[in-house]
Amino acid sequence: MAQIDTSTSGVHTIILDESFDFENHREFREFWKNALSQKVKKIVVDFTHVKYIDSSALGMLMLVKNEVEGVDCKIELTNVSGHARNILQLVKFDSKFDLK
Amino acid sequence: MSIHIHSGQQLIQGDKQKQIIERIQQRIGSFQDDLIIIFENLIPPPKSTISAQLNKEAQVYVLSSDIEDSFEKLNMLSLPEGHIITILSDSCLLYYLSLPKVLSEFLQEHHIDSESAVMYLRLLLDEAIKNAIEHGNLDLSIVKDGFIEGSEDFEDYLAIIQDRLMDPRWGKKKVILQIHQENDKLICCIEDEGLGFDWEDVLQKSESVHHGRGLKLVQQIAEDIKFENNGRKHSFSIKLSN
Repeated sequence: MAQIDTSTSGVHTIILDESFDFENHREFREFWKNALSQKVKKIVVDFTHVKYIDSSALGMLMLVKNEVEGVDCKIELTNVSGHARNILQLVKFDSKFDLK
Repeated sequence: MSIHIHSGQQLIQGDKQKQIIERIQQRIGSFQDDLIIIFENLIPPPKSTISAQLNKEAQVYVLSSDIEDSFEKLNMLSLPEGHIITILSDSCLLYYLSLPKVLSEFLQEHHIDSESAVMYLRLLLDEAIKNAIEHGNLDLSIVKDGFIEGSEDFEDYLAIIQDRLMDPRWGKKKVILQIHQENDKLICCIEDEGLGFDWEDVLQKSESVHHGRGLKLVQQIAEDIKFENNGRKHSFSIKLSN
């Protein structure tokens, strides 16, 4: 997992690995907390490399969503395709998140 | 009984294998005789108790003591048509072994053409195994200190899981997973040694931030879902051509 700090433009991008599951929890948490500490206006979660997500990933995304909504920030999920898109749509996250 | 050794097939290779091995070693240290894989001719449904499985005569793969050796053995697995694969493991090993990934990739090689079906199968196995361990063998569903119900702190939840996995009272409890093919379906059955849980209640409750989605995902994706023995035994099927 990698993060691109573009806080000067108010956007912080988190690039996920091939699997987004409970193994990534700590790193993912560290990244979005880092973004919020810089008072960015938008966190972009990039799914380009993601081939697999599980229910833990859904929980992690909901947690970030709840956090950013309290501090005038937005979350956007980009390049979501394949299995990840299927699962996110199955649990109706496409109505909760800005899915691209 | 026939065991087919499929030579030259590597499910997990090189750096990735090393990473997984290091991760497991860091978390659980050394272990012995924790994971057993049994191949046998397809037989009537197994007896309901795990001890009965242990006593049955069968060809057994014991993946033990040396995790590197275990991965070598996993890489040589094959599921001959008409056979059932049985995997018996301590909770503490199974939780960290990435077995759903290994199994789904293995089954992709032999049984499943659709990449989408492979990913769904991995997800179903992942959620079913986590459910059997966390709410079954680790008995987390009845914790009353607020970490499970009413808490949104995933770090605490993971810490409790880790503590219990390291405690033989919970961590040495077995999970048994059986997979076989029937026509165009893979049938999966998972059983734990926990106290059971109210699966209907879990499915009816709305999920919290971190909890409650796993079983609901299984319900949405799988077919022929059954719970038996007060939630200790859970079976489902998935179409190979999904």
